[in-house]
Amino acid sequence: MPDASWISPILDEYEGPLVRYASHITRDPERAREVVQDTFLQLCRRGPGPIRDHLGQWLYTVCRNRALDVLRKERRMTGISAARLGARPHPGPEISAALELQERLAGILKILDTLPANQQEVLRLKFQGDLSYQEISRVTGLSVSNVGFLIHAGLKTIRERVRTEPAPGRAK
Amino acid sequence: MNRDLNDPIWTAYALGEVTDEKERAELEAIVGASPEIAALVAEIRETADLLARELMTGPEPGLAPAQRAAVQTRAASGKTWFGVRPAWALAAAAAVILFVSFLAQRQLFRPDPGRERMAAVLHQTAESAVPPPAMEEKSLAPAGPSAPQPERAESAPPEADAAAAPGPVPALPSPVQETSVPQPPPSGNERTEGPQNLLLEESLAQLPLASNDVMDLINIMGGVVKAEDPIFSDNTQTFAGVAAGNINIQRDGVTVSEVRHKSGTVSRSRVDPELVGEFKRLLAPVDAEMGRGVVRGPGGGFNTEAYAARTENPFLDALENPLSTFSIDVDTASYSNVRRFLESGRRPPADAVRIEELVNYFDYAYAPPTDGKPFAVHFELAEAPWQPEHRLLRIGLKGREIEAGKRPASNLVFLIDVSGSMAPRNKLPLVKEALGLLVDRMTESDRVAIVVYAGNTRVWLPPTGGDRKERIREAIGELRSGGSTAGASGIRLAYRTAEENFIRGGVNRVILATDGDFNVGVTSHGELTRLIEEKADTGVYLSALGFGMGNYKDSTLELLADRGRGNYAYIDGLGEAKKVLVEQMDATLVAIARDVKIQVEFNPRHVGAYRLIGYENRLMAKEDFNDDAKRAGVIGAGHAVTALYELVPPEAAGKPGVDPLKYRKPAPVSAAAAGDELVTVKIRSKEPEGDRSVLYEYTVKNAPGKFARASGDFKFAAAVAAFGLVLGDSAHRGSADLERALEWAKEGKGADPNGYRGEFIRLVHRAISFGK
Repeated sequence: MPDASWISPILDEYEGPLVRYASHITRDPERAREVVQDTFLQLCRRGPGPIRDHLGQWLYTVCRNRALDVLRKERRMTGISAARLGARPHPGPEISAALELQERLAGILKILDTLPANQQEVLRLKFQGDLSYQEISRVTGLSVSNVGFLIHAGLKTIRERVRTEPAPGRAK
Repeated sequence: MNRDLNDPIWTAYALGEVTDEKERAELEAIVGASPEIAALVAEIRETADLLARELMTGPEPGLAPAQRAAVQTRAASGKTWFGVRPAWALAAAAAVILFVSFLAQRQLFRPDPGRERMAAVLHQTAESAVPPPAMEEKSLAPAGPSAPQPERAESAPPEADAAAAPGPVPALPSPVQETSVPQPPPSGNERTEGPQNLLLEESLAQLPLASNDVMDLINIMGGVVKAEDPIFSDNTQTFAGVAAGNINIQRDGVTVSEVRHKSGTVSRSRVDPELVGEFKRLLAPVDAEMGRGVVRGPGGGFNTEAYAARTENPFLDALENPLSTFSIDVDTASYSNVRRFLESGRRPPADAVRIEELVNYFDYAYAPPTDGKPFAVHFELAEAPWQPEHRLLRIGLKGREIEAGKRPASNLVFLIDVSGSMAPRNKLPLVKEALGLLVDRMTESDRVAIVVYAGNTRVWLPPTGGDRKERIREAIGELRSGGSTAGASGIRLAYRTAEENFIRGGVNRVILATDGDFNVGVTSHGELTRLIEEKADTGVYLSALGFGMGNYKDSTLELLADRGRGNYAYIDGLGEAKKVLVEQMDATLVAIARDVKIQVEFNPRHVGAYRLIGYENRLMAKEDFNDDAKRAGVIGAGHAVTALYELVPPEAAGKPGVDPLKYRKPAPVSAAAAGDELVTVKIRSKEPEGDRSVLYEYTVKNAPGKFARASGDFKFAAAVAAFGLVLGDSAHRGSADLERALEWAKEGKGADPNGYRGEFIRLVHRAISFGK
């Protein structure tokens, strides 16, 4: 009987982060799990050999495309999609004021949620997926300098909001 | 340096994303000098830590247990995929690897016509604080007739881009900004919906089967805009203007979903036209691996193999051009490459046929020198079988042999390309087997080191005694491929390793194993070859072993080995590895003479015109013969080198194409010309460590024999040359054809202890079988 042990450490390392990441795109944890399962199945089909050195990048790429496909098929365009990644405008001042109120309650992740979708995505890939700018660039198709700009802008917004409205128990 | 607090560079610096050491050092200096910026960096890091912690904690969602189990079951059954690894799976993997390296290449070093445009977009972004759209998947209607004709800024200097790595890559802007989408063809063309450079239907039929993996990678590339097509979006993906549909195929009894291009389908997707050629180029290896015919478009089309254009030597008038000068060439790669083509059912491109390398592939029974000279020289003269009025002169050099067990201590540094493109079975796995063979022959006085290069470079195995075979084998066994190829930095590290372990009076050699795809890094050929020449002068030679197919860069490797005073062999299988690294190990490793040049002077009394067969890229100016600063080929221990001249007797030489000179008499001939000497052959060479050349001189009498009575070796060499003349589409092939070459080869086969001549005969049969 062939051996399946090679997949276990990969599952252990990536299944959580990938489901989280996919959930952020699909806005539906169940669908995210399906997407991630599909991603791993594809990994099994191809075998880990040739992509061993950029496994993370490969998994995020496939997962992202699958998740966006699901969105498209379901016509559930309420979340983000490739089309909307760049198109969603900054929240206006009124919305921001309302959200800042929530921030006190829910902290930094809420601030993250107020960011433009493309900033959110690269920040998640950076800090959740632990990918480099270069890898994020390959996963998303954005240029490296664009990735750098988005992360910079996203972190800056978060920094400023944390500073002006420190959430209880979160400020360092 | 920009001290603007709002510069994204500070974020990149804080997150450790500035990889360029120099730049990082500069930034560090600024941080050290500016408390304001130091505070900013600290604050960015703090926020990043906070965010990372928040994102990484909380409930771990994970897969449902049943989903996880399904994956594990699949992983177990998937063993057939990479355990047995059918060729097509390899092919798909190879294509994916190529794509990965292509992506890296595109991101790092690609001349980027969209750069200025992108900079403008970024600038605008910075002002509005709304980053540019990354991808746009709707409103892809073709630009209206009033839209401005797109102009591609092709003039962006590549140097500027390479220097600015990692440079921005144009993530596809929205249709309004996208200027690279081509205009629809003029009205009257039915394909008004698609990009201008849709592939022709007939070439679509030839496109390879692409796997889902390839599609996944294509989908993330900037420059591809997928069609929003309600009917096809679920099961159709697109690239290069070609629609592809999912189909289910049974392979090895397993049903798998693959993607096949629908011939002739017009896609609504748009592709940066710059990428169309890239897609075709990158998918060509898939075609090749699957044994399908390679389609060659007018400009070379799908074939990514690079061969230097070859212009065949003409017949020269012996009075006007009494001297013929060339460097010896011990390379044999062209033969194994030609063999690879023929065995895969294709005729090799004419430029891949270098006749001297075909002829030199075979060993001939030349006696080694007994007089202490570095080589012995043998001549034979007979009718040219393809043109009986002409003569064929064979010059054979045989290098001094070294006694068994007397090979000098060797300091070998294997420089191995482990980039993604090396993954297929006929590349890195074959490299590993080939090295294993060589390691078997190493002794305790030898040193073996391995340097690997891909995205970066490292010493994989530090110099290790040749008797520690287990350690060496272990290191070889652990070699893995992945990443892009930066050939130049690898070569530097290999030389450093070799120099640190230099064995005086021994063999010091870097052996490069690659498919030649130096696609990232300092790949200025000039710089690379200068480095190699410099090192060869210090006694560290370079040999090149070419592996694999598809993106095999023949011309690069030949050049490198030539400059490195080494030899160049193409390893297409374990048999070839044995020949080069075991049977001819001494010849491959131990140089016995270098800068070996041959100059032939023709006696116009007996020779009207002559033609050197092959050696087109080894010709030298007649003045270079006596110039010791001019480099030439190296001959290895026991190596046999053969050169063939086709000679036209004065009576058979046609009238010259020019009128007789008005102001000069025809050059007078000396008294020596009156004799029966046909040619004088002069050979110069240096000792491997020497700087001054020694001249050896020989004369050959004009006593041609019948071809039928020539030696077996002569006949066989003539057969191989004829084979090359036919495959190379020579204008001077006379009556030579494959059938005759076969006949002559059979006559000259002789004992053939290693079976190489028998293999040649089978190869000619094969060439005949699928037409000329």
